[in-house]
Amino acid sequence: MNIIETKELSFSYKRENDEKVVLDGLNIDIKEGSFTAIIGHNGSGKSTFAKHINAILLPCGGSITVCGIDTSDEKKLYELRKSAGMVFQNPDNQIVATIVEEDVAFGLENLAIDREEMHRRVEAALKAVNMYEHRKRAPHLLSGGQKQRVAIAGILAMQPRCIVLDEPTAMLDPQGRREVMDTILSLNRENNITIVLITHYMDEAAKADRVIVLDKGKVRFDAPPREVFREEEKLRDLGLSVPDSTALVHALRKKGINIEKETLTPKECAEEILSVTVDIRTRLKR
Amino acid sequence: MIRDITIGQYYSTDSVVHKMDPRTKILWTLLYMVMLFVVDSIYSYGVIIAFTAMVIKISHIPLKYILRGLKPILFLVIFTAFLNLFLVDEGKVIFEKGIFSITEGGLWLAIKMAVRITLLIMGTSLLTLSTTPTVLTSGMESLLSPLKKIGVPVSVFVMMISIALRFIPTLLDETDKIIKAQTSRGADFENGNPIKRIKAMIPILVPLFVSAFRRADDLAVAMECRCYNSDAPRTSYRKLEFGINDLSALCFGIIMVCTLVLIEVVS
Repeated sequence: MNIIETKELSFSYKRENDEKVVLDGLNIDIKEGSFTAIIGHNGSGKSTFAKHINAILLPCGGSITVCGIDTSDEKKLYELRKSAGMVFQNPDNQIVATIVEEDVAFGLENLAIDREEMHRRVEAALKAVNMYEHRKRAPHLLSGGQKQRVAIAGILAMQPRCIVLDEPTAMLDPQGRREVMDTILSLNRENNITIVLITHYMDEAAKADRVIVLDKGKVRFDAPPREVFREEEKLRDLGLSVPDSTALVHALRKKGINIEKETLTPKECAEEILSVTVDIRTRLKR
Repeated sequence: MIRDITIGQYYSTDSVVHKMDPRTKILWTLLYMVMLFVVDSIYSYGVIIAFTAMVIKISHIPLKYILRGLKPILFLVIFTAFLNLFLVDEGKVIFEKGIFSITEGGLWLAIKMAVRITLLIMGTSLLTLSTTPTVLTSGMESLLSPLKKIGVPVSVFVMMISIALRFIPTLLDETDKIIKAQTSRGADFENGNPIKRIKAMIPILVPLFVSAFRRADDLAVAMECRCYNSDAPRTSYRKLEFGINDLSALCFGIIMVCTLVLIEVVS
C-alpha cells in the first residue's frame, strides 16, 4: 500500500515578476514500511518536497496524499501531522521543553491525550531511541546526537506511520550521525515505520531500500541504491557523489580489474577486492 | 560575564522544599515579598531572617550558591544604602563633615533597605533554585487559570515564558560563540569609553538577533509539526499535587503573618 502518493506535484516561489520553480511535476509513490532516501544538490527541491508531506507547504499544482489524506484538506491537518511526523536539521530549534521527557510529551499534550497514556507512550518512545536513562536531563546538556534522538522520540510518541527526516545528521559529529542512523534503521525494521530520509551523505542513502535523486525539481533517478550508485558519472554531473566504497570499486574497474558487484559498504568492498585478489593469486601460481 | 547570569537556574537536591507544589512556593514567595516591604520593626526582620535561614537549611542548597546570585546586585544594594545614608535627614545627627551628614534615621533606613533587597533576592532565588522552570510555569498556569474565564490567554502566555526559559542557555552559548568569533577578527569589547563599548556591542547583537529570529521560525514550524494549536485544549504531562507538606507550609504562612502583625502592633 502506498503511504505517500504525489501526482504532478509542483511548487514555486513567486516574487514580484520572478517565479522560481522548485518542484516540477513530481510523481512519487512511497510504500508503507519502506525506507526511502532522497538526495539531490542544494536547491534540488528535496527539502521543499519534505515540507509538502505534512502540509507545512501546500502544492501550487498537482496533489499529494499522505496516509489517504489530501494535504490541502485543512480539516484533517492534525490527523495528517499526527500520522506523518517530521524531524529537522537543527536539534536545538525543535526542542520545546526544558526537560527531555516533557519535550517528548509535547506533541501528546497538544493532542490532548490523557496523562496515564502519555506516560506510557513517552516511556516507550524514549526506550525506542535509547534515551530513557536521560529522561530527567535538560536538553541543552545533551550531545547533538542525543538531542536529535530526543526530537525523534517526540515524534515517535505521537505514534506516526511515517517519519520524514530533513537532513537530521547534517549538524552532527560522526558519533552522533551513527547514533541517529542506527535509531532510524531500527524504527524502520522493528516498528515498521515508513522512513523518508533527506540527506546529502551518500553512505546514509546507501542504507535505504530506495534512493530518489532530485535535480531542479524533477526526479532523475529512482531505484535501489545499488542501481543508482552504479551511475557515478551521471551523479557527479548533478553535483552528487557515491559512497567511497562504491567509488573505489568503480576506479578499480577502470583500471581493468574486474569486480562485477556494486558495493555500498566498506565491508562489502573489502570482501569483493579480496575475492578478486585471491583469483589473481591463484592464476599467477598456475 | 556570561557565567554570572543565574536566571531560572535550578539546583537539584532531594529536599522537602524541592518536592513542594510549585503553587505553594509561588504563593509563599509573594507573601514573603509583601511581608518584607510592609514590616518595620527590627524584631520582624529578625523573624524573617530566621525564617529565610530555616528554609535555606531544609532546602539543602549551599548558602554559598545562593550568595553567588547576590553578586550581580551587590552594586544596587550598596548604591541604595549610600543614598539613604546621606540623603535621609531624620533624627539625631551622628556624623557631619562639610555638606555630608549621617543621621540616625538615615542609618536605620540604609540598613533596612540593604537587608530588604538582600532578603528579597535570596527568597526569590530560593523559588527558582528549588523549582525547575517547567514546574514553575505549570504552577503559574494553574494559579492564573481563573483568568482564562475572562478571556486572558494564560496558556499562550505560559508557553511563551517556558520557551523563553528553554532558550536562555542556547542563546547564551550563541552569544559566547559570536563574541569569540568577533574577538578573533580583532573586535575589542574591553577597552575604550562607555560609548565606544556600547558601540562595540552592535556586532554581537546583530548576528544574535538574526539567529534568534531564525531559531524562532524553525521552532514555530517544528511546533506546528507536532500539532501545536494555541486555541485547542491541551493536557498536561505533569500533575501538580497539593500534599500535606503544602498545607502545613501555608498554615505556617498564616501563623507567621499573625506573628508579624502582633510584633508590629506591639512595637
